[in-house]
Amino acid sequence: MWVTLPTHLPSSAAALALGEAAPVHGALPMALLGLVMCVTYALIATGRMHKVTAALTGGIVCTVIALATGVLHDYDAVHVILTKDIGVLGVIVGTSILVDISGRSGLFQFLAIKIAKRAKGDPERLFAALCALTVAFVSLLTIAPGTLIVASLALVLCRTLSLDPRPYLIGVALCANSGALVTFASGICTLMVGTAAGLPYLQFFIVSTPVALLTAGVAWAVVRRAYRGVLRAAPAAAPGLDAETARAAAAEQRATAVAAYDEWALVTDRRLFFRSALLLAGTVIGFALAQPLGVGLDFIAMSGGAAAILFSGQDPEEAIRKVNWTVILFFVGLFVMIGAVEHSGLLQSAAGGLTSITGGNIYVAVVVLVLFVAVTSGVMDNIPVAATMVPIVTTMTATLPAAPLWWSLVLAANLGGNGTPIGSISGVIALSALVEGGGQKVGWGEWFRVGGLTLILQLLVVLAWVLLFTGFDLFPALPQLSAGAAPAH
Amino acid sequence: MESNDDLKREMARFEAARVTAPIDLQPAELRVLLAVFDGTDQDATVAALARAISARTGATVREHHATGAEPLMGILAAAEGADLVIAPSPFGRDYLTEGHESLSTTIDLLLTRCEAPVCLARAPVDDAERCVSHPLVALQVDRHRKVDATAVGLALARGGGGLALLSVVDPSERTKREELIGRYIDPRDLSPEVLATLASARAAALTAALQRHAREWNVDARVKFGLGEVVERTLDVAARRRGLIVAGRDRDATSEGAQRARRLVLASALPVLLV
Repeated sequence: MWVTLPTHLPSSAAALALGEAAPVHGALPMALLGLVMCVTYALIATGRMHKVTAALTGGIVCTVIALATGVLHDYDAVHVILTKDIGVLGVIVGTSILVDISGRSGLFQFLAIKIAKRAKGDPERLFAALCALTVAFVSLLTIAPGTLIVASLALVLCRTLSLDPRPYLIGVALCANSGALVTFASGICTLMVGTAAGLPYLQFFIVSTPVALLTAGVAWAVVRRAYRGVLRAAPAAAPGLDAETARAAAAEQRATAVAAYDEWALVTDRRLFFRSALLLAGTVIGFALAQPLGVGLDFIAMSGGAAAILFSGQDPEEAIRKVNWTVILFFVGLFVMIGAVEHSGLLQSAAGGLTSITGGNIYVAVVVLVLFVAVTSGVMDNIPVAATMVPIVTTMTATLPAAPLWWSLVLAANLGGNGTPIGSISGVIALSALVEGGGQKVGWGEWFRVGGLTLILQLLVVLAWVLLFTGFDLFPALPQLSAGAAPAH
Repeated sequence: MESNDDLKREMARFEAARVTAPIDLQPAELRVLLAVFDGTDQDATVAALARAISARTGATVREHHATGAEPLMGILAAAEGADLVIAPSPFGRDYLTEGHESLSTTIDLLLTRCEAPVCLARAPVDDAERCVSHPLVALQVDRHRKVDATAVGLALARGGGGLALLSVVDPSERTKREELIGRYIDPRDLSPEVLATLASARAAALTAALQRHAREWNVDARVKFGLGEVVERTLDVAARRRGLIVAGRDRDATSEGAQRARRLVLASALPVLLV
């Protein structure tokens, strides 16, 4: 039973979804707007222009073309486009503040050291602990801050223990993209697609968490196998000892070195430390209860952010500066650009083309969507990929079951970044950490060998998961979107 | 997007948590207080501080009214067996007229010769209980005595008070190369972020010891970091906190630490407890 059709689709996608004719503005505006979007994405993918500059410029040029060609009747239409996504922006602002204050309290650094110490300096156990920490921290803090904390700890511990940091950092980078799948608010891409699909937080958690853990397990296994020599080789404690004694002495030495890290040394304000833990827990519970309470996730996130400022005693200006303005401005430009392109009918045409390729078969559609999204997310930022695919998938849900398509999009967009070193922010952070902290470079070849294989295996897991759920009708029914929870593009 | 600076800061933060010499911190035992009166406008401040410290620690208060041309020997004799001496500075002169000119010879000598910690009363204190229960421990005034200073601060703050440790790095000081290398900090990179990390590293062992048992001692423990000249930064933070300043003192009056402690007292309107 597929309950799929959102009742609140103000765009042309809704028109198509409801079986009406897509707005027709002629081929020229469609071609011009499509060209601007492709050029913008090329600039973002190649890094020839800062992504915010590219998105804002693309948004402005598309607005001018859309107004000049009558795609948008008046300028108010731009505000309508932006209003649809105000909830996503609210979640980003609120969680940025909360995450910054929690980070300053030392809470996550405390937990990271405490857990890493349990590995007693054993390279394999440490690797497993760091992978698990990554998934947990990214699920709570989102991908960039979560990766940053674990990558920094990994590098510092590797220096202390004289270990090769490559497997640890690559493991962190690959597991981070799985961590972003744990909850609705764990990643920006997840949030955007989840909002558009109207997926409830708890439903998302129940369906997505097993996939997140399975794909993280795949990443752990592939990296462990690829670097088994590095992870097993331990430096000898002293020359002149037999192998067994040397191994025991080296293990003892490593355990002592790790034990010197005192997690309490990172707690500068004990009251803030506990308050941060409570606020973060309260916000996660609030996210889970948002829908029954009849409020949006942005309300919960903003409440958490405001409470963090109020109860932390920290300088509000400092917390506000830490809001991820890069992502917000990127979104603003991107949403306006995609909104204009969507109004031209181009994305609906693309959706029609994609649907016809699949022959209206949901299984084929899932495979095509997963592969297409994973590949494009690997070569460029997954946010524009997901943002562009949302109206396309919305249109496709008019003729195909919605849940498998939304789940395919969200899973593939998050994991697709594992395929290349520039595909996700976690990979960028990890590689930068290797250069900054360890003076080591991981080339595209080495990344493909590990990340590429990981991605292929993860996509097999995703396909098996989605097709299994589709075949046995296991996806929970998608609720009707309320008027207050407008879908993203 | 997180920058390399964020990465470096986070790494340095973890590196600062490496405590190579753990500290066993315990609150100092303050059983007997000696309150020294000189008949000036500071007697009321000395009495208020003595009452407040006694109320917080349960210590008994002995009073000594110092008179005559040579009060020092009398004070030193009275201080035998005392765990803390509370005295006015400047001695024998009104704070309001001469407080910022000198500590007085009596206090200079007392700081050199007295074995017990000395709490110097300065300007009148509005709320002595709040002032005493929320001490600020300035760790870098004399870094060799920072554990003792923290132990005294803890004795005053425990049981519902608040204790702040202040660790300052002065960029104009030539930071010891081995201190940087010992902490995996690149000696070529002395940016404010790196220096702040060094401040954190200098306080790491004390921070760990304090925070680990803060609940048991029922104290609101905080650690603050500062960049700049030690005395100036200490006075800035103390002015906002309005609590007693606690710092170490070197008995050798010519040492850098002893001179820094004297400058701190002279510039402070808040009472300063030198351990």
